[in-house]
Amino acid sequence: MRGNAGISCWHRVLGKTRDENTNPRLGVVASILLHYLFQRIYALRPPINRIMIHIRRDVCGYCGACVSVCPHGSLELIDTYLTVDAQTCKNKCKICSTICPLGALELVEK
Amino acid sequence: MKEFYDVLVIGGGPGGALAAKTAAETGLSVLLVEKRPAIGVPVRCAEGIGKDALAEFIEADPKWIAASVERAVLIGPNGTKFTISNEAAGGKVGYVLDRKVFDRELVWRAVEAGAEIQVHARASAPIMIGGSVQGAIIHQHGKIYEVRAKVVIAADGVESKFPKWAGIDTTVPLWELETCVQYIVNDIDIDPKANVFYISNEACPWGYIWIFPKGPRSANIGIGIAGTKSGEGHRAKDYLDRYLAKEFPNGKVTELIVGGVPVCRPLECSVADNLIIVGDAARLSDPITGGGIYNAMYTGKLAGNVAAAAIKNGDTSKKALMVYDKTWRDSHLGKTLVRNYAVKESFIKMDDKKLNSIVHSMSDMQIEDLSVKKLVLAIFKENPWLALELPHLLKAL
Ligand SMILES: Cc1cc2nc3c(=O)[nH]c(=O)nc-3n(C[C@H](O)[C@H](O)[C@H](O)COP(=O)(O)OP(=O)(O)OC[C@H]3O[C@@H](n4cnc5c(N)ncnc54)[C@H](O)[C@@H]3O)c2cc1C
Ligand code: SF4
Ligand code: SF4
Repeated sequence: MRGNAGISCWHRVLGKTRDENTNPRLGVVASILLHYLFQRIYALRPPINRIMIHIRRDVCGYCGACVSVCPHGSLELIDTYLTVDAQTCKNKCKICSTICPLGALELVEK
Repeated sequence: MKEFYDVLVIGGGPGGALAAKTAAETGLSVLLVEKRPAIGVPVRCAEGIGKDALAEFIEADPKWIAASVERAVLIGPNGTKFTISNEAAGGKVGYVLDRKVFDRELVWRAVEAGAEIQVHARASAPIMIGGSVQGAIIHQHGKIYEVRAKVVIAADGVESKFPKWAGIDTTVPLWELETCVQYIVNDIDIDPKANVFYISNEACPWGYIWIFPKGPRSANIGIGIAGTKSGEGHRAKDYLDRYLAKEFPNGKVTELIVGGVPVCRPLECSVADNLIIVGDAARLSDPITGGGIYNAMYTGKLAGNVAAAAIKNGDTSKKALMVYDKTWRDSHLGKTLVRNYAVKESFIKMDDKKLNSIVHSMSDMQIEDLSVKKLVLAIFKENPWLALELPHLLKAL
């Protein structure tokens, strides 16, 4: 559904070209191509703005268990303050939130 | 803090303290940095250690001994008990420490030997030149220091990041990190002379529940479960709360302790140019018991000695430091780690029916000593079906 909406959206943007074009199909093809191109670029974006690791500070017992299993080295325990590096965290991997003995790590949509 | 030392130790746990003390005793200039404001707190440990093991490093002192333990009791899923008494262990068995005081004592000894200590001082990155470690960036009280050293000893524990920053992958696989919660529970009826281990795949999947006495009516009661068994609604804390509600409904919880214990294989290589990795950072805790205090002290001391010899010879390259890696692997510690890893792999996934059968057969056993090898062989004798299931284990013994 989202895909179709996207295509018709591009179609609308390119609508003018289509009207003026002798071959009306060209506009449709161009809009489909553009749609997929943008979809690919969109997939390559850093995912940091969508899902974030939320640290429930009132729950965390600052034990470092999550730090030791994070495959990307994104977590660091600064004394009793856990930090997450949104640049390197591959988010949805969830390993940290699985391991936490207290349940202090949540994945939230931003 | 100076700009240059012979040895820089990162982390003030038992591994770092022994490394700093040993290196300082040889006359080297040593700096130990600990990121926490106080040594040893918050505690992340059940505090059990063998008397013999402790005696290798320090004379027992009532200041930091909470309880002297005479027997170990293994309880199977259906409640069958197997007791190993101190006669069987040569009249020794172990202590339950007070690690808040113990860890501090070890660091004080390093200071007395001449090491400099900086607390609330965190290593945030290595100083790297040509791919090899030359020191570390240290943050303390809002200031940033560049500290160079001939040898850096990473003793940064389970949450170790320093070797990672220097290019050594220390990540523990999820299923090989035991996720743990422990309470100090007061005002309960316990056997104050026994360390109790309860195994059950239902009550503590791929791990165990422990009761280590801290006094006549108080104990460290904790649980470790495999990382892959943890999740929303069935975390280590959920399991422990269920167990306490059932077994000690009137116990008063006076402390919460959380932590992770690596039960994976040790790092493939525990040295690099100018860098030695010790204790939990090198993933050296015992895969069966999770015990790592002794292993941290052993490798810390060894690292201090190897660093001193290498500095004296003017060669601190990986090649020169390899003697550290080789020595602990060839020692009783290294061999025990290999064997206990094989034992853990074999038993961890067993269902409660099989565990019951094993503990049941053990309950009638006459064991002359505590060695895992003898114990496992005796279990095999009583449970011949095991030989079919775990042929590789017999080879590993
Ligand atoms: C619940 C639980 C129960 C346990 N029970 C037992 C038991 O009964 N018996 C036993 O023998 N073992 C037990 N262990 C294991 C034992 O606690 C560890 O193996 C032991 O503490 C390892 O010592 P270490 O010196 O290597 O690391 P640690 O004691 O973890 O010390 C590492 C230190 O380094 C510091 N640090 C980390 N990063 C930095 C940095 N960047 N800069 C400066 N400082 C840093 C940390 O703050 C910490 O103080 C248990 C562990 C847990 C979690
Ligand atoms: S594992 Fe949980 S309790 Fe431990 S430091 Fe991470 S978030 Fe905090
Ligand atoms: S989600 Fe994965 S990558 Fe991100 S911090 Fe947690 S363990 Fe690390």
